[in-house]
Amino acid sequence: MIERRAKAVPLPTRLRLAASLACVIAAGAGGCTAASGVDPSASFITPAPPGGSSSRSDGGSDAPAAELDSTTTAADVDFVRAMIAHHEQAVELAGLAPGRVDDPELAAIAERIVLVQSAEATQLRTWLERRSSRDLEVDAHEHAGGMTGEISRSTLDRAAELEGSAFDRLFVGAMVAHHRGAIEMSEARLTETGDSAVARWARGVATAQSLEIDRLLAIEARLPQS
Amino acid sequence: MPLTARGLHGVRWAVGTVLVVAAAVTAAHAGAADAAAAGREPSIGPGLEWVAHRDNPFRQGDDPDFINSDLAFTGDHLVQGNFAGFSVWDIADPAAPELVSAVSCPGGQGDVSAVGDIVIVSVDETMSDDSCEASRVPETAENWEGLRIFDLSDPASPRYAAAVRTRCGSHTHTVVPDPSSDGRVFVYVNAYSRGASLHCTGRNPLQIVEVTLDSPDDAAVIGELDLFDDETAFGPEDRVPGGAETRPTTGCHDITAYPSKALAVAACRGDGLLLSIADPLAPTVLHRVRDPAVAFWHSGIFDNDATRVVFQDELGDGFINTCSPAYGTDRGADAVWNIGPDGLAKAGTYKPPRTQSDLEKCVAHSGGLVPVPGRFIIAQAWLEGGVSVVDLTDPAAPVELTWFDRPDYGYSMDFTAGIWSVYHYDGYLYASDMYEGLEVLRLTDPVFADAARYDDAGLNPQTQPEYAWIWRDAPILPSDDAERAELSTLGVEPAVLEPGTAADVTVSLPPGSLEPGETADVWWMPTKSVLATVTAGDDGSLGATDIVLPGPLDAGSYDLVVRGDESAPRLAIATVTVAGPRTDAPPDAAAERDPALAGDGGPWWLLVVAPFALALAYHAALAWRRRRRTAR
Repeated sequence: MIERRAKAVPLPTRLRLAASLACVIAAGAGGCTAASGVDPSASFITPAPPGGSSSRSDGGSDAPAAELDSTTTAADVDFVRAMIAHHEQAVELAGLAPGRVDDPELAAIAERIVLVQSAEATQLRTWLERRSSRDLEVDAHEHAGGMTGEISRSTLDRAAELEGSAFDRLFVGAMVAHHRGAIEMSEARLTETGDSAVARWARGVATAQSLEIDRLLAIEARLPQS
Repeated sequence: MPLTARGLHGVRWAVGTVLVVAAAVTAAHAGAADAAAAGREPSIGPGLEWVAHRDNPFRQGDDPDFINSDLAFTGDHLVQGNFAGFSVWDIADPAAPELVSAVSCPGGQGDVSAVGDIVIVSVDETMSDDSCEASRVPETAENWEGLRIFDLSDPASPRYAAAVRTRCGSHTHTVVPDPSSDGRVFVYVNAYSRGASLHCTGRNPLQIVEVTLDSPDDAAVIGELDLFDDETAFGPEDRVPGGAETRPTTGCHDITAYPSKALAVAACRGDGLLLSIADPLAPTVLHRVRDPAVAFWHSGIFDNDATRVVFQDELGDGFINTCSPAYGTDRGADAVWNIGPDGLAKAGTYKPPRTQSDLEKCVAHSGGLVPVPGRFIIAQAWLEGGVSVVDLTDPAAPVELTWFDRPDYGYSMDFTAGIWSVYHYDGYLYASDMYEGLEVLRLTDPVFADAARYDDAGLNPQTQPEYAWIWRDAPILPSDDAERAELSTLGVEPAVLEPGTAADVTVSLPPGSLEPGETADVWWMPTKSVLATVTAGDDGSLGATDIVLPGPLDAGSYDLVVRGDESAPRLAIATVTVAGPRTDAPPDAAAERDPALAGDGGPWWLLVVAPFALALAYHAALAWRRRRRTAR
């Protein structure tokens, strides 16, 4: 209850409030004096905008940052749910690489995908579990359909039967399409509002997977043709 | 006393924040030990003393919009960036940092620099406008991101002087001094496109912002260049249907400049670059390197000679734990590269030896050089892997010297967590913990004595200073008498001594002789050894200091020299004379420059001349003493 109200109070107000509350609580132990250790000169401030500012308001924001920043949106939940499934597909394909892959650098990338994307999927699941106990009701199954770059069951089955450069070619083709899909999904989330932690994740996914696409394409260029 | 708000869910914001402030109260009284009572007692390696902890004044429970980021130092002030603004700490007493101000001005990451009274803050999240009341908006909405410049003339009330909009915001930035003016710095804005965006797509040029120290309000972009113009331009094939770039390098994550060597290392996502910054407005790429083992080039640190650089690989973007055996020692790790005429050659990798829990985030993050002569030692943050101090002198066999590492929270933070960066300043390590706050640590091993001796006037860790260990080499006195006479005069009492095994004397210098508060050594020139290390007074004087001149003291005259670390190469000199009864030592220049000669005897005529010369020196010394007394 109180926590929700706090979200609507701009930070400096909260800090001032907190400082004065601290004085009240500390009063029993000497109050808010210099000797108490709370530096009376420590100031919590929100500076005015500089000259030529793009700000249309000069203080007294009518859209407190915390409301936008900390509220989990349906876009967040959609993105996180879809990305968990998307990561799991990459992990499944990459998990087929040992014993089948030929190119050593591709083997290293596959190993890294298994490690990193399964760890990220775990983090995303943790985020989701923490929210599922809250009052946010989103029909995830409806929204998780918007996944691009899916690695189909038939692709996985085919990969399981290939080895050597044939496996390598299939792997690169499927993984590049998969990563491009991840970037699209991340970009879609970045056009929406929501939890800024999720926005930062989306940026991180887009960045990391674009780097990996470039490396996969460089490997593909040198793979022997069938 | 439990000091964190964890577990107090219902009234978390109020009680939590009160406890944050209360923690500062307690910490001020009881120091670091109490702050650890929250149940997350860190593991601390040998030779490391935890001297202070201060809570993050912005913290709102586990909300990642209020986490600390990087650090910058100016004089006795430490500026700590935060995704919600920045804090200014008074660190005149490193064991008791005092919060001077907490400036609310949201926008991550809050990467900070400090130049004199100027604070520069990076904003790399799309904000509704440039003000400190702004809120976060989607990338595709109308937005502002870039650099904020604050005037810290009144540290208790920083003034927002300028907002410099840049094309892709500013993930980090790097201050490069203007070689032709102390009054101006250039700021390299490090940023890259992150996906669909209104203003930031394609390859992001390196934008350079000019900040004039006495008119920070006029800060503006004055140049931009493409460090990757040798690469083919972006084409439609490099975009996915949504418009995002799939090229590995659309800009740089961080740059570390080494101005005195005219070099910089740029960590640019998929590429590591060595730059020449001989012309800071026109940096050029000297070498470019890619490595299949490095997922994301995050940052770099030079050794003091600029013969090596260690790059950090931020695999997984700080969201996951890469510090487990599955990742090995070369993923999400440090990699040392030798700088050769033909480019960069990988020489080794390092990862802290402690396995972290999968509830933690751990990967190579920000750190800096610990200046130890002849060694390549860095202190570096590994997020929830803590602080690792490592000797990279032999890159093939790195040695962790010590560490500071908290256990996990019992759960995993949504975004990232742990120690963002750690840097050596004025003999202490300052670590910025995202949620927990500020940790101050002291390296107690004697190997760090030289590092501790630096009295830095300021430090932006991404602008590496060149360290010189001036105090390790004996002063060189001019042989020319006229030049000697120009050196300032060190007072010594008594100036004339009897021969013996050793002697007690007192040295002193009048105000203005040394830099206020600087460290200085008293050198005994016959053996080129330090007899005492002293601290100058606030007026630049050296108060009466008792020292023992080592014997045997044969007849002759000998030089005592005082040299300050900052006032060097200026020297203050005194000559003590050891008088009779032995008269076989000539008090001439030869004796003082090579005491071995004293007592060796000499040509017969010296026996005649010596007593006269000795008497002359004795009277001269007496006259000089009288003059000194009168002068006082």
